[in-house]
Amino acid sequence: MNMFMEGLSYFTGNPTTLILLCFGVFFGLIFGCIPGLTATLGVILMTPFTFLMGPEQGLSMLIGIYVGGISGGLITAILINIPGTPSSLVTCWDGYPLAQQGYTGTALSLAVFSSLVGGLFSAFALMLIAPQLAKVALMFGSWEYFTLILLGLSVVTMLTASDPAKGLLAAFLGLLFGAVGMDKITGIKRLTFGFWQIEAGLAIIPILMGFFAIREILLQVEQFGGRKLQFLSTKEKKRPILPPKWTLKGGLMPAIIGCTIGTVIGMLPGVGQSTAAVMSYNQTKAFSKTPEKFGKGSTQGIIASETSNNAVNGGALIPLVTLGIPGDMVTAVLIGGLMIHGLQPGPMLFRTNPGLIGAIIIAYFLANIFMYIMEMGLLGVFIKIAKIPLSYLFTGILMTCILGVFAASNRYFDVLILFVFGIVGYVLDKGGFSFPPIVLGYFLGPLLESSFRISMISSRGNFSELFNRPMALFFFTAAIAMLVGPFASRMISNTIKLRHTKKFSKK
Amino acid sequence: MIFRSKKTKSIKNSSKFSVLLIGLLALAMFVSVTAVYAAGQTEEAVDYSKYPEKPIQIIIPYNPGGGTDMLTRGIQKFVDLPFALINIVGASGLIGAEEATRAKPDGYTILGHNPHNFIGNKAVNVTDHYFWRELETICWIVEAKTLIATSAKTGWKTFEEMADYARKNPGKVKMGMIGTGIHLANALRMIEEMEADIVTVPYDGGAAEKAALLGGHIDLVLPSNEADIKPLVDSGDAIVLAIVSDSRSEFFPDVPTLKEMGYTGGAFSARGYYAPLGTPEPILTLLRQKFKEVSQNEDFIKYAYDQGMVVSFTDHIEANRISEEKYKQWQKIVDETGIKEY
Repeated sequence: MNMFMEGLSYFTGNPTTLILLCFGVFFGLIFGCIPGLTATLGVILMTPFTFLMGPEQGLSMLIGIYVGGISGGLITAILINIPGTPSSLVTCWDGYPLAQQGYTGTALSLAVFSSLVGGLFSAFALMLIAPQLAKVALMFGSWEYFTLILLGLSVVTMLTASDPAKGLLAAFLGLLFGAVGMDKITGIKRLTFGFWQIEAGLAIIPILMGFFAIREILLQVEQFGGRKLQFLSTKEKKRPILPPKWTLKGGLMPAIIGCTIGTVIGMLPGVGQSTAAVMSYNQTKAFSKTPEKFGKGSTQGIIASETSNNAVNGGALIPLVTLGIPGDMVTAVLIGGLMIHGLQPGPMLFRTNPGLIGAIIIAYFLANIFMYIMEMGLLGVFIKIAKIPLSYLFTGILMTCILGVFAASNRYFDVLILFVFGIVGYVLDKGGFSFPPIVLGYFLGPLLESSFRISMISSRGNFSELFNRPMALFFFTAAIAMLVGPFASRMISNTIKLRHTKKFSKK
Repeated sequence: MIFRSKKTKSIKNSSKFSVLLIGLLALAMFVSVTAVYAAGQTEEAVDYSKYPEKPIQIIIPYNPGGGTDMLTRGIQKFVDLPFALINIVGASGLIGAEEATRAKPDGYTILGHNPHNFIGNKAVNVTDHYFWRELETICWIVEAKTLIATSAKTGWKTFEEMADYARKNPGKVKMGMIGTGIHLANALRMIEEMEADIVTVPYDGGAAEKAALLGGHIDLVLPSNEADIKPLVDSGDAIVLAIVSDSRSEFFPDVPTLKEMGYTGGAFSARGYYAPLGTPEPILTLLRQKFKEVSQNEDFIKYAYDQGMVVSFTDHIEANRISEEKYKQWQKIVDETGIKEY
């Protein structure tokens, strides 16, 4: 509890931190509510500018952006049937139909309220689980790290990619990007092609900005002029601040399902909001007494989707603060935000700097409350912002990217990396590759490599040491099953088909 | 709270709003561009009396929370210069040091480093660089001791208890260290003299190494300074078994040195600051002066002591002499233990 009091004192003692958190939530909601801009992009764009703030201030702002960004997506999901962020996709399925029936305001306040419930639930989960997990985190040796990262990578590869082969390829590309630079232990230079600028590795900020900002701009430029947004208007005179009682009827079950699935999915390294929302939507539908209403404006569907995607945030912060492994893509970027402030997330940070961890958790808690107040109070503003033509926004974002990349390293070379990876990202996107495996491969690759190397060296090259470690063995088996599963099932179904056709041909 | 339903009105507002937003963005950009431009201008000025006009970037080639990092954060508090820390981690500090050799010698980038690391790395030929010759030495601030420590869970109280166990259980004892440089050479020399079989495990940072020690994944660590391990000793999680440096530590006066026990020992560690070759003399003089002042500041000395460091100022001439001397001595150890293959 001491840790949380210390964390709270950062906010009570310094109003700037609180203001930055508010600003972060506001900025996040803007990025969330504009289709084409994501929470990930918002966090990446602001990361270089946290350089001059204190670590707790910078992180509060980034967490604010994270929370606001994930929740803000629901506005356009309900009003124009286009998710403001990919994580709100499922909200479209029921939110838009409900709004079409004239309950625009009700749908919005129900969704925002569900966001708050999901966010607060996972905040409590974070408060309860993180300190306990931190105690056992030291039991995690290099074998456990290696296999857990392997599991996270294989889950994200198989769940987010449309084609498992392409998912694998994307993950390997990510690992390759992560391997660039001097070997961290022996100092041998890898894949630098004579460029000394990348000897310390491909820098985080230009790569991510390239992938998420430049790629997105290139993709959207294709559709310029063709995008007309039809906002639904409302019959309701007033938009209720709290959702009316009839919408909450039967809402407990989807809320529990959404919160639990969201938090657990968040804790798994790599898998994020979209997966959680789809899973809890399907579960809720299966348990619901009125499954026929789903897709036609069911309030249960909205509750399931919005509680779960916001519950992921808190869940994803759990492995981040305890093990130093990101739980989803945005928290992967948050690691970059921590490193800028000279902090290495992991079990030692929990011991040496518990106040900061407390501050992160408190910031997450407060961000959810600010998110609710701001989203309800300033909804009209966000709807207007969502209507701003992207052509204006992209000019600003492009400038911010270049300035941010240059400010982070003072190197023109990094600006080139930004554009090269923007174009690489565009080509990969056109080729149907999904980005979570690439980004997580890039982030987790070095950690995967060093933990594997330490494991092998400390057991003198004996891989069977793995079998003496039940937890590591479990992770490893799960990872292999995850990787092989899709291919195996396809092979089996192919052979069955083959036999079937043979039988037919005999007859 | 009335939900705006009149379409015409909201469209009008939206265009006004977007104009406002664009105006703000343009203003922000103008300010930042002029700021960058103004910063660029100063580099051409020859008047050093105004130095520093912007933050001085200190490259810390080690993980955050490590000794050099904590020391520099302390100096940052007690010096009236605008320091900004940047951690460029990896390969026993080589990556950060190389970055420093390439930085513009304008006094706005300096390097905090442990000279024993790059001298050691040259001795084992991990790097081609003679960093202590390729950078301007500002000064050394701290002299530290290299130690051998174990986790309290192993139950060893003395070095000999550990050595006994290691001799009886070949391959069972695991020793963590950071990187593979002179640390490894010193460790191998010691293991050779112990006539034991100990697994040496290289980590890429102090935090991971300490987490592994506390979790029982390794049994010994070989930190090159007291600061690294002191908090764990104070909390009762770790025990110092021996001092690898040639004299006893102020923090652990009861722990004997390896030399006293009949081993070679011979480690040396210090923390100092360097600037790129070609940094103007007036700036170097100013920096040396400032660092010297800090090293005499009682509050800083206390801060450093609390962090597990003994402040002792060594000027650049003396520091360079010791560097050359240690380089020769360690080359000899490396030749004898034959770890060149690493």
